[in-house]
Amino acid sequence: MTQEEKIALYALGALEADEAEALRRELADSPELQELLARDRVVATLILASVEPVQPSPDLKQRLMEQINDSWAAESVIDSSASEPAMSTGSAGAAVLSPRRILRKARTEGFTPSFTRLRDERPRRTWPVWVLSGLSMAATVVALAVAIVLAIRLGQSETEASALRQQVAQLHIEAGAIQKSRDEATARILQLERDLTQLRSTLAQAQQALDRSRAESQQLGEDIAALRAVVAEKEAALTQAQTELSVLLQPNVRVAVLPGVAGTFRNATVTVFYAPQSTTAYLSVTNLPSLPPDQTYQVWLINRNQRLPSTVFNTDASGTSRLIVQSAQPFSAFQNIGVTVEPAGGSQTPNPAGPIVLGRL
Amino acid sequence: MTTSDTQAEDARLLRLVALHSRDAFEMLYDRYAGQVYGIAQRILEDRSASEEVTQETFLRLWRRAEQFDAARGNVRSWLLTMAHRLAIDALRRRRVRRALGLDRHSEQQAAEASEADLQPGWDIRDEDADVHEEAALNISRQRVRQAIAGLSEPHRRVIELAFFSGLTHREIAERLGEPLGTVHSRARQALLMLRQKLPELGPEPGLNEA
Repeated sequence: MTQEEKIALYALGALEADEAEALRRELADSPELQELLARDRVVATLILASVEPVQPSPDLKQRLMEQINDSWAAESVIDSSASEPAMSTGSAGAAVLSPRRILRKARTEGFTPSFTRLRDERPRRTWPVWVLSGLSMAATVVALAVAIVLAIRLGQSETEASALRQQVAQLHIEAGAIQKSRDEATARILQLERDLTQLRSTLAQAQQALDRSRAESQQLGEDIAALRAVVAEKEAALTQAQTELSVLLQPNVRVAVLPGVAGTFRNATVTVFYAPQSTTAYLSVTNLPSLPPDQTYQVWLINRNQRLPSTVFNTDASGTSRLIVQSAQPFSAFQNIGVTVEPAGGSQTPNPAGPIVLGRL
Repeated sequence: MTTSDTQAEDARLLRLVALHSRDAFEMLYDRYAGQVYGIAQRILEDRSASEEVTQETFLRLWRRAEQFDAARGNVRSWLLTMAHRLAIDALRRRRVRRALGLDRHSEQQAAEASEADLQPGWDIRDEDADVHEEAALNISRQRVRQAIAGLSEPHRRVIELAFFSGLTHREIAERLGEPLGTVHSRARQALLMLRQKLPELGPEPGLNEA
């Protein structure tokens, strides 16, 4: 039989008694065997756990509860049982005597045995035959004296026993009270544990609800911010459109169409709407390619003496833009309008490469 | 409630049982009496004997609660193993009683006779009931039954005769008319195959055979 087989048979309870005993001794010194056994035991326990439960009759529970209800009786059963190793506390247990144990001690050492001792001692105290047979006065006196002493002793022992009996009864009462308050305490602990579980679950629910509403409010906040951005965009577009409209609705409004000058800007067209007496113009830009971020288009207002830097802009992906150009002087003061490519942010003097769009006003 | 919650609550209840709380004891009884009685009934097939085993199992729980070390095993496996041991013990006593031609009233004689004549492969020790891998008990009843059903007939038979009929390996060999060595290897293989069919239990540890 291999070790594994032996362990398997042991876990299944199929070893003979002597073999099991020998294996137990072997197990004590072998962590490897213990490990093997633990593994097989898990399987054995699983087999047990797979057995279909059958509810026993309610009478059984009642009988069991009645049996444990007299916990003193249960204790005394343990005391009398030699097969319960952990309960044989001996003198080591004396240091931590519980009321139960005091009572047990009182029972075993003080109560019943005192009678046993009396019964044991009395028959042994027999009178020597020669004392009685002599029948002398002296002997009779001695005998009487001894009898009296014995009677007194017996009385004392009985008084002692009765005192012990009273003590035991008192201990019974005290132990009963302790048991009662302990029952109450454990019932309270159970109730508190149930309450705690309930509270924990309520708290978890509340936390979940809070998390949910937090997520919702965060979502709402994001939606509102997005809506605000849309509104701001629309407002800006509206302002732009209003300004454009106001330019277009001026009396004497003129239109100047500025062609692209050269190269890649040849197809560009900038249409300028302005009134000579006004300082605001509206430019509509088409076919002007969108610039990288480090560059910008800039409008220049040109008269005989100077080229005044004006609005900077870029076009969108379709190459168009609409912009409002403000001037310090009425547009009648300018002869030409042009657009150059400048570094981002714009310049004070135009790009020496010259305008890409230029036309007369 | 998860299994670990149940185990934690069982351990709490058991601490209260150690303080002689009848409420806590009753809760544990309500939780496990069905399983304990089910095992006794499966082995003994007798209502009164199964009730005795159930009663004794829970009485031991009541008396020994204060000695129970939750770190070394869980309450449920302790109860199931104790029920199994007591039921097998009762079964063996009954067999001896019948062999000696005693009736049920000769319980005392039988108990005395059994001391000499029974050859139980174990005595009932608390530490034997400890099972360390509580996680394994998460595996459902149904899956374990399927694993057992998946064993070959000879393997299943060895488990049945040892575990539920209380026979020793010699008695099993005799009953089946098989060599002893065959019974040994089948017992080992049966447990091994069950473990393989339930991969949650982890790999089989090796042991160098001398």
